[in-house]
Amino acid sequence: MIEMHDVTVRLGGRTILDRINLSIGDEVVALAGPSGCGKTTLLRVLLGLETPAEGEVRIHGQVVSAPGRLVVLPEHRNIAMVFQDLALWPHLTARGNLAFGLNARKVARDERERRIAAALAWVGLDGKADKRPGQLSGGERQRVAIARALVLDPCALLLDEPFASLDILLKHEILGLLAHLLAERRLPTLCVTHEPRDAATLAARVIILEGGRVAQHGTLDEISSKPATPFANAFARGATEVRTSQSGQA
Amino acid sequence: MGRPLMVARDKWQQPLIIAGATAVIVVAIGPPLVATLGQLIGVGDALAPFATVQVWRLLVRSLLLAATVTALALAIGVPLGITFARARMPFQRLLFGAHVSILFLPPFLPTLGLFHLFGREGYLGGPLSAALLFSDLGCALALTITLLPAVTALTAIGARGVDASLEEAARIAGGPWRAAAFVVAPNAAPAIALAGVVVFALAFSELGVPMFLRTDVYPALVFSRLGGMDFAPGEAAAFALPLVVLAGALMWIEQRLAGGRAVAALGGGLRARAPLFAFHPVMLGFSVLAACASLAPVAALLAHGAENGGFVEASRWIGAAPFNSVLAASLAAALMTAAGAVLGVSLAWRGVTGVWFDRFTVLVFLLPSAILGIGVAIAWNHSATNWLYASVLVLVVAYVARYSALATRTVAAAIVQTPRSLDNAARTIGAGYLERLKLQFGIAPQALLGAFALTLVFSLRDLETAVLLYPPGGEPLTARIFTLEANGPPGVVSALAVLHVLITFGAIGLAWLTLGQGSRHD
Repeated sequence: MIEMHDVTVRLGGRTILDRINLSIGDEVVALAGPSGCGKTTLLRVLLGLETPAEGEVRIHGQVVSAPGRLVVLPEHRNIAMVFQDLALWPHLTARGNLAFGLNARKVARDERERRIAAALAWVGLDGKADKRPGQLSGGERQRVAIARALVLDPCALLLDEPFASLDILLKHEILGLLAHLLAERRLPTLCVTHEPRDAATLAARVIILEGGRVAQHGTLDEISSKPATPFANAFARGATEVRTSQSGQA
Repeated sequence: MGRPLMVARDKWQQPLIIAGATAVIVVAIGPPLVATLGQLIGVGDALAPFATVQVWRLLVRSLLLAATVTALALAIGVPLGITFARARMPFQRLLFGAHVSILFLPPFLPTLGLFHLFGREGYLGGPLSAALLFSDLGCALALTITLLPAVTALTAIGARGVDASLEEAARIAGGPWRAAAFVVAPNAAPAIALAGVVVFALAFSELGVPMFLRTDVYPALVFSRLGGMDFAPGEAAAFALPLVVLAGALMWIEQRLAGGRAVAALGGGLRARAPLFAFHPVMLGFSVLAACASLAPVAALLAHGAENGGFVEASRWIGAAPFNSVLAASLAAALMTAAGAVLGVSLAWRGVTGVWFDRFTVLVFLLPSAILGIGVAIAWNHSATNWLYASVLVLVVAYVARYSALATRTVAAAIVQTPRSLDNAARTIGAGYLERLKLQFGIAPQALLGAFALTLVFSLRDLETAVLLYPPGGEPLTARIFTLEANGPPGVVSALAVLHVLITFGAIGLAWLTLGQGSRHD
């Protein structure tokens, strides 16, 4: 479980996050909000790349960030992230990208190779291990980024608008793959998204962030039945329409 | 019928401006290269001077010296550059500025300071340290101290240009050390490769330091054939042959490992972001040591000059040398900036002219200066061109030939940061080439100021071309100090060296202030 208790973040004299409380168990939660509302900063606080001015962050009950200090460094939190621009290291092959974190954890060679092969198989990239990111298609790069995150067997997964740059067909395909992989694993997952479709496909709950505060949280049905803000209303309506069309197709 | 197309106006603007810029470079570089080649063809047997083993031994010795300096500079400079760029520490900018400052001085000035520190009668010296200083290893260490900041600075800029998310992804997965070693450094590789090539070229062509420390080097062989009793320009041109091959090889390495990617890597170096490393006393100690290594020789010169009455006596010995220095360097920097503005934009946009002229000027930058000296002397030392050869203009021509690559690359590195769509927008509304250039430099005024400051400082610090070519009465300060060092009062030499430091840092300070004001857009 990952939790935030009254977390406030100030950067350059501005309050970016204001007394955020959230708790994510073994489920997928979508984090939505207008541009500049603090979504990425919230992820960075969970990762330990930003320090809260006030409040605490806990992972499995252990305090990892306290006011003004990191109790547990980012590299020791075992949280994986799929970045918006994927952040695949261009000088390393797909295998090298997956091996990086395993090497840091001193995983034995045989075990490392086994895990890399398994992770590439999960995302359907067997046979592409020795390709560099520049030699892969957009969808394949997306899959490497997902495999890189999951190969570490993380205790939580963060997704920062990972489908933003994909065309609609590819997005459909990757969303399906991710939904399948996350359903198998059941690990706390927070997915930042602008798209109601992503939330409808992946998430059990939605958190609406506006102006650095949690404007509303709950299931899509709860939000659409009583939206707290115009953004929450528009987002929940969009997601509900997607769900309706998905169930109609099924 | 729809509305008519826009009338094409100013269609000659772009070719004319580009032709003007290329003409500056061609006039500066073309005649010396053609003249050297002509001299070489005129020599009966160009390979005759290579019959002796001593010549080859000297060449190998110089290559080993440059390779040692490059290896040491990379071994220290890469971790130091990443430390300066990505670690949290107090007085970071001050320490970085102090460390890099030595790069803007002619290397033989800090070496003179090292002599006052570690020479037999130096402040910290004795017979042992003096013996070390006047050895091959001492020469390599002195050159490393003076050229190390090139690696530090280029690595730091390259490291800061690495995409933030690549670094953060590595930090989360493997911690800061692994992120620095396996992601930041490899992704800053084009800048590091460029640094390695620059240090090798500068170490190989350096004359002042080896001559002062009495270390025989190959470029001195060429130099010796251009002055005094051994004057033999044909033989000098023949001796220059391996240096041309070497410069070609260095340029090939630079283009292969760095080239356009270095421009992009250096251009991305201005984004602010949270440090990768938390404060660590060892990193602070490393940085303080690097700053002290650069400042100590200058402090020794200051102390030596003051102790020996050099500052009182200096006015009697100085002549017009500072004026000559500043005049030649300013004229050259203005020409290089004007040409670099056009060619740098072309390089940033990967235009054919920009790319080819970049290769051409980089090749000349990598050529040991003695070759350029031979070429300029042969090309312009005629009665018809005496107006140029016997005036300060000869230094201007030589500086433009040698340092134009710096202006082009500086402009290109700044322009690649500007989205190309801004230029496309201007183009679609019918802006002429000159207006588009103005737009680019309105957005990135630091490009021009940076190019001017860098070429000015490199022209001011030049010794190798200046000492070969300075006209009667037009001796620049570096040449004045170098000639006085042999037979002038030691205190005065130190005082003049300090004056040179002040002029250089005054120029950098002015550029810094202007740059700070020019880059504000709010």
